[in-house]
Amino acid sequence: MNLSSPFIHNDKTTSRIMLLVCSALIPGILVSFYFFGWGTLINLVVCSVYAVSAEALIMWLRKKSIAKALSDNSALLTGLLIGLSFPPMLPWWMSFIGVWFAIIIAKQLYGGLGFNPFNPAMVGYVLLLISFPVEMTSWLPSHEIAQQHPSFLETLQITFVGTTSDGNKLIDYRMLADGFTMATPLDESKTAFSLGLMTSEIIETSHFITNTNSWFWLNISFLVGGLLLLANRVIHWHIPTSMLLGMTITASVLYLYDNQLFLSPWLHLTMGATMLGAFFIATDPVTASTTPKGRLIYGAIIGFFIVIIRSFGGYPDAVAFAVLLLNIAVPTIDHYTKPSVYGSQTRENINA
Amino acid sequence: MSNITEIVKDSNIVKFAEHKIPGGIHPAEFKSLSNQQPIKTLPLAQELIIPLTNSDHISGELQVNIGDQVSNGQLILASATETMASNIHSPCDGTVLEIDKKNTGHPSSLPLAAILIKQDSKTPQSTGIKKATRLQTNKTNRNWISATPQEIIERIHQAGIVGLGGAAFPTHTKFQTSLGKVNTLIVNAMECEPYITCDDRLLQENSSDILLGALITAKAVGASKILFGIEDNKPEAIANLKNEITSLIKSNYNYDKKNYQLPNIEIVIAKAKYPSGGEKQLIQLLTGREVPQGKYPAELGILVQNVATLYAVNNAVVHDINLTQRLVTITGDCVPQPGNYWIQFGTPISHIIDSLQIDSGDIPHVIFGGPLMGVAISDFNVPTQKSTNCIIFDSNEKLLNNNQEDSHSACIRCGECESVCPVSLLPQQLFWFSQSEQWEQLENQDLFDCIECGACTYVCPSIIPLVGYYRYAKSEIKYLDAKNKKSELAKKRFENRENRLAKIKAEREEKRRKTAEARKLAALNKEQDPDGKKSAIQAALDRVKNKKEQQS
Amino acid sequence: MEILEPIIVLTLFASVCGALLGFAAIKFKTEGNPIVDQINGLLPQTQCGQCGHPGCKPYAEAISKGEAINRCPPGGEAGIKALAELLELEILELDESCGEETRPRVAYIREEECIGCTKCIQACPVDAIVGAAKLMHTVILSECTGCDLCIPPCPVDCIDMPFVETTSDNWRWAHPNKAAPSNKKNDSLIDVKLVS
Repeated sequence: MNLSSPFIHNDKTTSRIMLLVCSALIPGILVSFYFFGWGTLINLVVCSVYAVSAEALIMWLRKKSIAKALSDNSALLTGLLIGLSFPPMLPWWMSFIGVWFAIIIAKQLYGGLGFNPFNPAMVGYVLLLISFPVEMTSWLPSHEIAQQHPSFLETLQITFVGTTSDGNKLIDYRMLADGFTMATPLDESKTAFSLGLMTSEIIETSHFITNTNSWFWLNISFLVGGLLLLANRVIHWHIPTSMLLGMTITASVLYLYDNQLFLSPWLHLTMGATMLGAFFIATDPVTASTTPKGRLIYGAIIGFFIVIIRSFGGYPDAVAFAVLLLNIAVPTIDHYTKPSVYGSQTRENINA
Repeated sequence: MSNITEIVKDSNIVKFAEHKIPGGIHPAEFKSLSNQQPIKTLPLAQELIIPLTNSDHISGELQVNIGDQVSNGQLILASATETMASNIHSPCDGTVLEIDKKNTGHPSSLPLAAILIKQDSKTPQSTGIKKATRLQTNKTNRNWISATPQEIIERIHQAGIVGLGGAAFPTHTKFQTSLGKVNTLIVNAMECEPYITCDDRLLQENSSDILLGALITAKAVGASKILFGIEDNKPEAIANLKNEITSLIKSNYNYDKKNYQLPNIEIVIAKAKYPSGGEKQLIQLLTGREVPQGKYPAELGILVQNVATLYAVNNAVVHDINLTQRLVTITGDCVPQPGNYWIQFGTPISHIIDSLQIDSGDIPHVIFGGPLMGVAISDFNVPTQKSTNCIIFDSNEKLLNNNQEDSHSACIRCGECESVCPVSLLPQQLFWFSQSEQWEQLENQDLFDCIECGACTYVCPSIIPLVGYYRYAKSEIKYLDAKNKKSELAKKRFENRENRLAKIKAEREEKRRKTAEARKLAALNKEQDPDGKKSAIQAALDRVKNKKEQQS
Repeated sequence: MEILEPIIVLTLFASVCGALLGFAAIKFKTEGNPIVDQINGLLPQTQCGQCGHPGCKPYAEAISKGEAINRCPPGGEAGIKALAELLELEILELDESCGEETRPRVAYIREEECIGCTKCIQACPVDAIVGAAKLMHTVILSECTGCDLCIPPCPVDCIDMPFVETTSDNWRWAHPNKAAPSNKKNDSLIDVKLVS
């Protein structure tokens, strides 16, 4: 029997795309390493190892080719993304639970690559966030204001053992020169709001400003990576644009309503996991909407939810929740945003 | 490109396309391999295998038997005018050796009816290229002006002309159904698929014949406007065509102005993009209009014809030549002299390999057509046919490894396929439903509007054989439809039979019951009146009573 | 007695709902069992009896009463899948004891040997055999469902069951990931071409 046309193909393959996305994370990784130390890199290595090992195990259990599955680099990418969303020096066993849950339950149990409805990285992250809220929100302050900087060995020790040989624990590295323990700007502002402070009071403290500075550069570096992906046509422009626009508009409305109770749009765009989410997480092709109009709606509503949950919800950052919420809505969005097929609009309306 | 801008600048018959088609891809063209040389003629093969049909039955009457002598252009198969089949003519002088089933390149590789003719090498064959017709001076090429459309269509039917752009649909049928409905003739000179250059060279060397063919076609269907659609990667062809049209208009083409109106002729240049040359896509590109789903371009008053077809129309109407050959691009890295050759229909691939000294020892298959919509042929006895516009002999891994591994990677729903689909379908959804065999959903997603251009498969990062899935799904749906109809019919026949048997049974029952009752009644009578005396007396008394009543 | 109030409310509520349901059950009652027709619509109508029932409708009725859905060889895997979807049951493997799924076949009478006894005509459930007593019998190939019921009654054993030949007209593209079962060329006594 004859073989089917076409007989030529362009050079883009899944493994190349995934590898390009991994490479686009490098600017962000470097900046994160600069501000938050060895913890970032160790997290990345550890999570990647967990992700690849989980995938290999499942492929072996499913009696499929391990080499083929690993060669598409999707497990590696999931590992890197989860690793970036975990705080530095997160205990090794928590990372293990999170990553193995993400790969095995949220991805492989649904059928493997392409079959999962929910973003596996975000599922793993949310599982840990809800189970271990304290550790998952214990971010290090920027190295510029931190009192102590953990060395490579000390970072390893905290991650795998819990204490350093000198008896230091994680909390010691979160202390600033004047004894405050520091969290992320979003976390801090949330605590401050709940204490009744006004926005203007929060954003003018020097710690806040320095800390926000580091998160600003982190977001810029992810933005750069994202723009590289766009330039190489690895991702489509629809989701990042609509997500950032959605965030801006929602935050502006709230900020205009009362600029003492809500953070400014600028802060929303530059703090937290905004850029990572816009270019690397929400654009995950498997779980995002697939039609052009659908992508715009998907991104816009994610942006809306991020700002809403950040402002009114219980957790400081909301990218993961917003993305997971919209993952559920994708089939409906796709159904109602089908492009009109050639010749369909001129068809007479036959009573369906 | 600057060449083209100049051509467009000082001309009012050449312009750029104002519309676009959605999607599309830009694969490497490989056209310079074969469009640099002038057209040549391939020497005639010793034995020619002419397919008589593309399906399991022959639509027409055979005009020859085994052992008959035939001449070049002689009718072998006569098709009825109403059928969707064309006349077939002998491509050479020779003897009919066999009428049998042979592998003629059907995708199923099943053998179909064909005629094997052995070439008669004693007498010189009449297969040379025709010299280009000069439009102005030759008197014979104006006879068609006084012919009626029906006469032109009949001549085209006799000549066995089919659409030479690839689909091989009988041209006379297309003209017949377009007659009176069409006001624009679009000439398809796009040739958007890589490797193929036969239309390009034909335009470069024989524009006048093609132009004349277009005028004849316009007369046959009643079109008042002719649009030549061509890609911007053919500057020489555009220049040549433009000169021909300009001189045609300038010369005032000495026709009897009362009976003939020269159509409005324009050349529209579009950026090279695959698949702009598809019929529906070309219409959208040149006019901005879309052919309604399930309907034909005649609905919009448009007829689309390929340049090679128009060349053949000119040959048939003006020079009385039946369709026995066509221009074929022979290309690929195995060919020492790639180019375009006039090849008689029925020429086996093996003869082409021998004539052109093609190094084909290692390649498992050749491609009939282009790399995106062609057919892979591994049997080198398969002959060229009316639809064969190109043969690719290439050892490139890419062309040989056509994504038919046992299992491909999973779809990551990246949406690349959807961004290149020229029909604005959702190929990823079509794939998911084909994979899970959800046939109704596929019809909702307009599976049958897919033109199988291959753009989606070209860009898929997981190298999924998408078009293979769609072809599988389409044939399964057709098969299931036919199966359903058959079981509906079987059910009706069964129910009819059951009803008939029940009716017979009921009638038998009724008869039995009546007989039983009558028997019972007779038995009862016998009881009361054992020797019949009582009833005789009663009968006599009744007779007396009746008589009395009659008298009174 | 605080408990009295909720008891009264809930009882009233339950009565209203029950009344509505009872009303609906009477007002919107359907004649017969529509599910049987739906099931029958999915069966191939071969009327062969391989499932153990005298025809497809009786089997459909049995399925509606709970019989297994995997007893129909002519319907095959696709048939079982369709039934499973309709009735929201699990997809099962075809029950081998009922027969096996094969390519479509048709009956073919070897006319030289036919004695004109009409036994096969009476056996055919879809009246696909033409003929009369002491006259030639022949099978109308386009109507034959391949059910095999004509074979046992024939006293001279002159009926063959060849496979329907794959021609370029009924040929189907193979699944891109595996060889399609319908395209395999099978050995058969005579390959009969169906003229549509």
